[in-house]
Amino acid sequence: MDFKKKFDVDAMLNEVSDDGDVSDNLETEAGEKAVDNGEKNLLKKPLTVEEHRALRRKTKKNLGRQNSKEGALGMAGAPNFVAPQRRWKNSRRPRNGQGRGLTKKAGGGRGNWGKMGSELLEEVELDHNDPNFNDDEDLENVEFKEIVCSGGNASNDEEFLKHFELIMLEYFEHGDIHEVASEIDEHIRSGTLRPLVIRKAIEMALEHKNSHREMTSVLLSDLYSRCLIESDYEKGFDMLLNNLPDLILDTPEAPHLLGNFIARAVADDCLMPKYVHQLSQNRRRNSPKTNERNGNEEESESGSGRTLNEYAQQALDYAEGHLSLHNGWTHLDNVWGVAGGLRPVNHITKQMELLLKEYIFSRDIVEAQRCIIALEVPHFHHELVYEIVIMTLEALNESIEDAMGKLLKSLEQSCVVTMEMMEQGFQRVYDDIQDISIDIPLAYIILERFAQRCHNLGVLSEKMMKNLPSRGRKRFVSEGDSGLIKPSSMMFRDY
Amino acid sequence: MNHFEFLDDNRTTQEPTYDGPAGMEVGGIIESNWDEVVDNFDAMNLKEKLLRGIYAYVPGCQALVLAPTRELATQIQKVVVALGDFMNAQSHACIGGTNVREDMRNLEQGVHVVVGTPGRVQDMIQRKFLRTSDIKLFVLDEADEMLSRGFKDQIQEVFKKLPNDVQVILLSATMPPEVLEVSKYFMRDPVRILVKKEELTLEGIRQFYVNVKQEQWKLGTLCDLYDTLSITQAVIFCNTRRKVDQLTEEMTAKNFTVSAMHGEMDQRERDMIMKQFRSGSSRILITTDLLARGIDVQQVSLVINYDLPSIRENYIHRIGRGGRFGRKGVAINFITDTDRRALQELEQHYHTKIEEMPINVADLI
Repeated sequence: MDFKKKFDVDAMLNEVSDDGDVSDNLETEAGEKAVDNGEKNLLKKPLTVEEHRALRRKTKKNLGRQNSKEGALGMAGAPNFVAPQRRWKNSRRPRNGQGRGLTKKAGGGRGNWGKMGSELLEEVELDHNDPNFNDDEDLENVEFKEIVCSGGNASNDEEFLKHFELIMLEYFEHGDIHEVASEIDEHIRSGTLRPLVIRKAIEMALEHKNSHREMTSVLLSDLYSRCLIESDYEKGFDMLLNNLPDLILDTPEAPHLLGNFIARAVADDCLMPKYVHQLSQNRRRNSPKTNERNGNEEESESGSGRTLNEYAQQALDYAEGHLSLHNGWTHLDNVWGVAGGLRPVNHITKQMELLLKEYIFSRDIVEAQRCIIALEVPHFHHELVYEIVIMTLEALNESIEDAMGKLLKSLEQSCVVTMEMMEQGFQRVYDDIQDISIDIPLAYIILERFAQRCHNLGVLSEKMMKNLPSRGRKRFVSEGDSGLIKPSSMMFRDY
Repeated sequence: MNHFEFLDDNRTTQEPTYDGPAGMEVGGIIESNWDEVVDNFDAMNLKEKLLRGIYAYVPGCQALVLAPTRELATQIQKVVVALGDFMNAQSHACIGGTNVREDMRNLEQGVHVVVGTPGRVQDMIQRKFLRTSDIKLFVLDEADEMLSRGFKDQIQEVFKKLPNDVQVILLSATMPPEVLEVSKYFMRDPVRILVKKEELTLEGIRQFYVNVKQEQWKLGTLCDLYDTLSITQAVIFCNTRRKVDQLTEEMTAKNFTVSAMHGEMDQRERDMIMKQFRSGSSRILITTDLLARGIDVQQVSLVINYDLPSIRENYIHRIGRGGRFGRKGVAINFITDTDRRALQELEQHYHTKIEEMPINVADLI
């Protein structure tokens, strides 16, 4: 735990200088002017509101909203403590502290007041050069907390992790992000704990299924600026990368999965792409000193940084691979697949159709099974059976019948689809057959043939065979067979 | 879901004292591709016999259990502790993380049963902290999960280090081809056992919904229903722990007797509340999904979903039941106007009907 403490302190210091740099880069003339004015004003008497507004108006031309140079100091940690409950993220707004220069949403143009109430949602940024800036306020919000936290660290961490584990387990069941956020608010008492949220959440997600990983990604992206700030993400991922050699013991695919998490975090605007690129660039160049990312980077250096372990490199490679695809990052929204009980039913049905179509072409039973299991909806498999039968009816093709029979057989044998789901699926076809036969005149015949095939394979029970619907007419063998009636073993249906 | 089990029988080469788990004797009706079919795990007396071959007075690992995740490994270890308490069998779960040092110390002291994920155990063997020469029993739990998490190589590596006459037990809920393949790798002529676990079903359960329009009117509706509920025992499901607390408080404030259970409580507290509920001294239990699977509330004939489950697969875990318990019951879902769509999806998902609650619902319970 010792090194962690150092880590945080250093990181904090570095953060400050980091941001200083950033604003240096971003500085424009107007910004400079503002600073000058600001400094002068500090020496003189405070501005009146009118004057201040006039000043603001001038600077606004080139920049949406930017802190003056010194003001940036506070940006790293400070305002986020007081950040009011901002709207949930996912609005793809830049988070580098300045707007894009666009209008306020639905406000009707630059210079307007914006929508009613929109001022509540705005990020509060403390400007140290603001004449009305009050030093005490700032102190209260930042340094106090930081000092408190660096006290009894280890036990604090442990305790928080224990709580957070429960919170996450519960989140996997209910999927309610607001709930998690408010729980975190309750338990987090210091900033150093926040990176642990990232670390623990992802560590737990690695142990769970893909749908849980998706939920975790969503959670992390939604917690942005609600509970966490960017440096937390970086620290959290740094920890995870350092920890990979250990994680890999319990999850062999950990580098790949972590790469996905990082890429997704970038796509969700929680991390800067810089994070991935620079880490991997540093590695490639293998040079001891690279400039800009002096912040956490330097710190993680001692831990991993330059000497990134090979798994971390793999993870970053995966992430970079995802991010360097040309067609944008939309594919990252599906990085965890399409599974889960959270997706709408229709969506899952569509997935089933797709995988069945793929199966028809590839005839790859193992792959089909894998896809079916990956959907994680064992109680919805009746739909799968239904789709299989319908597809068979529509195909009018012996070889497809054969393939589908084999698929059902293998599903039954490996217990992926239970007998009950199988029966329910067939029963649904039986119920709908009248309607189906309007489109497929041969439906009755093919269904009978297919059911017989399944029965022979041991997939369909005797009971279901008895229930097999037939067209409502008696079928006698024609007079050719010396007037005999069809043997009683065949099914009749009297009306 | 059905559970399968492969038992590799090497009795010829083993000490006479060890018979292996029960259920080896072939009996009963055998379904097509199974050597044996068992009704449930209890019928196999696995628990009683599991530690039989362990000599507590000899130090050294004698049984090795592999599980897909650390979470599960911890759970298993807890069970083993409970089982081995009497005979003083030591067990240890390799979890890694901060515990690596502790792992090493414990293993060097010589524990009898080791539980862990394949990667972790392999690591411990490689570092020579875990001696494998005395291992007699090798268990692979949730083999399908383990393989889908990519542990194939690790399992094989671990197996290579084990003595030749080790007995292997492989458990798996599903049997995809890769599990069969792995089982072939280290099992000669296994005994295959199909355990008929009861499939949860909605059959025979009458499902209703009450549209309370708005979230805050749920409480009033519940209070109105209370008289009906307390005829029998009922379980009320909320989505979050906070809601459980809140509802419990509100109900108690209105002088209704309820008990609540959620994940923040420790095991002892939970056990106590379950005991109260089972014995009938409390009639209404408020809880969350997280515990729904752990508690056996199959006898309860009335379940209320105060919130609809946000993950649809949870619905059947809340209200479904196995055939053993008579397949009867009533489920009432509280919905608001925004939940209508979710309700429809639930109906589609389970291909079932959820009707509006009739006035005489008490007669149905």
